[in-house]
Amino acid sequence: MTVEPAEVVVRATDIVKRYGDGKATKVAVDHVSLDVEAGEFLAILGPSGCGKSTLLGILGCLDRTFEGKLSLFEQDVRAMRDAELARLRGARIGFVFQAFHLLGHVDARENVLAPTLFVRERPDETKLRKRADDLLDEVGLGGRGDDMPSTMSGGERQRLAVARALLLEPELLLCDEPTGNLDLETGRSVTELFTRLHEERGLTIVAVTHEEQLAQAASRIIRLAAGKVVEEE
Amino acid sequence: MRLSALNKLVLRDLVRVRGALVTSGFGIMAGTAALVFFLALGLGVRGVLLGEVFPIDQVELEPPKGSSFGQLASFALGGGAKAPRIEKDEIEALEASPFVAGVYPKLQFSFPASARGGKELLGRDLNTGEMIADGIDPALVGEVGDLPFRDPLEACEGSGGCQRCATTKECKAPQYCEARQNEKGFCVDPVPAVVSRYIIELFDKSIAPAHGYPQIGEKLLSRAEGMVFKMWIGESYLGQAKQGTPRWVHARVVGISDRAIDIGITMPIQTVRRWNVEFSGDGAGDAYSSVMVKVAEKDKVGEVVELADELGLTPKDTRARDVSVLLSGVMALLALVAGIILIVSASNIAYTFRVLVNDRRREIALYRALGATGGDMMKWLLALALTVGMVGGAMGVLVAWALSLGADRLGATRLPDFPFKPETFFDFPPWLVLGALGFAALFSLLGALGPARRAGKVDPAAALAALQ
Ligand SMILES: Nc1ncnc2c1ncn2[C@@H]1O[C@H](COP(=O)(O)OP(=O)(O)OP(=O)(O)O)[C@@H](O)[C@H]1O
Ligand SMILES: [Mg+2]
Repeated sequence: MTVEPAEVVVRATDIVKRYGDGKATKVAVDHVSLDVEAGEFLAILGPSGCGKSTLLGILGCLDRTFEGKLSLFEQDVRAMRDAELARLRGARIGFVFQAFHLLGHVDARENVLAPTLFVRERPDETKLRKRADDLLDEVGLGGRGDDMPSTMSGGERQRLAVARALLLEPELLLCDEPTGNLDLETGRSVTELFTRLHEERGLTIVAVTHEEQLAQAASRIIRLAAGKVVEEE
Repeated sequence: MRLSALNKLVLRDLVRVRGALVTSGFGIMAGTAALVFFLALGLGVRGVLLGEVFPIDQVELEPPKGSSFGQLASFALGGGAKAPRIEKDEIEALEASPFVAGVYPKLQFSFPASARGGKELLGRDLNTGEMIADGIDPALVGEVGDLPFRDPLEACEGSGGCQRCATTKECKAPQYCEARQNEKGFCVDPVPAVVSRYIIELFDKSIAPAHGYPQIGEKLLSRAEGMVFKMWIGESYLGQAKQGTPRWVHARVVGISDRAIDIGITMPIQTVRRWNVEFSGDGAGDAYSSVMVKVAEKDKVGEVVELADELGLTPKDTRARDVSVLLSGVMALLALVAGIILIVSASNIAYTFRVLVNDRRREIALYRALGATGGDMMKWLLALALTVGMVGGAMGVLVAWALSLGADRLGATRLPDFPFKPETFFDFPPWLVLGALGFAALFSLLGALGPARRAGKVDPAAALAALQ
């Protein structure tokens, strides 16, 4: 399947997400509409509990129980079956989670290679291993391929998660507080990595954060409060 | 999901959670071992019983009131009472059935007889006061040894003919003169007879040791010239035939056949027919006492017995069926025990896998984010369960096989020699091994099915957010 790079990568219209039912209903995302164009670096800022992670989960179609309209790469997400969405995630979207979500039982290289498990066509193993090592180099983990994640620092783990997200050359990178757990110095190095990916490769990035530093690197900022978009700049 | 990827995930799990998997697999192994051991034992014993002790691809049918005493009773009444017999149209009806491969009427001696012989094999001659003998179609017996099983007079019909004689002295041994008293006859070979494995085993394992005779089974089979004996026909301790003059004939055991009657000897029907006419009159030539029916397929015995019932005939011997039913019952019971072990191990697997899936909600959610479908996650856990089941099952089969070797060894060294004692009490047909592996796999999969479905339904957003 060959697809021309989409102009509008994400188009969300009137997204509403409620948790719970009856009296205890909590509106986590409240009528949010936003477009992300190809090559954009969008930062979503907002206080804790305002619905950033929830929104990101919806944009990455990990969560399908929302109201409103969402299209990714100009395809209507609601009309797609679970398996189609999984394939879309695997092939075109990269995730970086705030809590890393690394596999503790395999080494760094195998963590980077994890997305290949669910690729349909048989991948070229040697080429992929080479690519994994190159990516580890790129995120500053050159030579650490055989180390277990448990022997790595928080910043190293975060960068390992970034390398994993980039392995299959996604068109859209979704990051949830990618610098949230990091000290200033490592936070800066991850920010620089994102800037470079954005500027050099034209990668489309949506990053949720509460750090001004990362936000400054973005090409556009959206501020959320209590599930609503309060400011766009 | 690609098979190689599935393989990779499963192999990783075999290292990661080996403790839990070994525990789960052990139950499957025990269940499979029990299942295979019991069924192989049942099949082995049944094979010996039905294959050698009570062959079941044939049924002997008789008229309702007939019994083995019918013959004796008719002698006791001076041959006056007519024993019930099987009519021609009944034989034709049986022949027409699609479940029947062949119909072979049997003709009992309608006259008393006794025998004397056995010196070649036993060292001295034995006497039987009363000789029980049946005549059957030689086609039913087929080949039994080097010597032909047919009416010896047939040999005289050929071009060469036979030497005429009035007494046995005129014939060259082992031939004798087959002629009625004061009539001319032919010099012929001894009348061939076959005996049952049952009577040989009975003699070798019970009578011979008690009376100090050598065992004859092996010798009889390996002797090309058989065992010759003399029969006094037309008279015994029980009395005399209603006509004819008693005389000596020669007979020879030529082999063992499972078509032979259990106790007594079995001869070509043409010979018996001739003697019956000689001693009981024309009617005795086709007064069939019973009919041996060869069943087309082993599991069609029931249909044949049903047909016989409609004709008013009953099976003479229900032992084979009784034994078969009894064994099937015992096997079913033991298989049930094995089945319960398997069910318990399936629920053990269910528990282990439920814990596994709970522990891995995050990992599953991550895989979903990386491109796995819910179905992929289900397949992963089912493949893991299948591996546990197959490995456990294969080890179970090996354990059962090792146990059977041990049991056979014990049987060979510790059990006394008894009739039909087999070399092995077990039978491992391929379908049993494959079936057991199938059951092992099935029960593992059944156990893992619920947890695997839960794995497929893990909500990725919730599972990933839960740790923020
Ligand atoms: N599974 C859930 N069930 C019920 N309420 C939930 C659930 N997940 C999130 N919420 C609620 O929805 C709101 C938005 O949560 P979300 O995790 O999106 O916030 P966030 O902006 O990412 O916060 P943070 O900056 O702390 O990560 C919160 O009030 C939270 O309590
Ligand atoms: Mg969050």
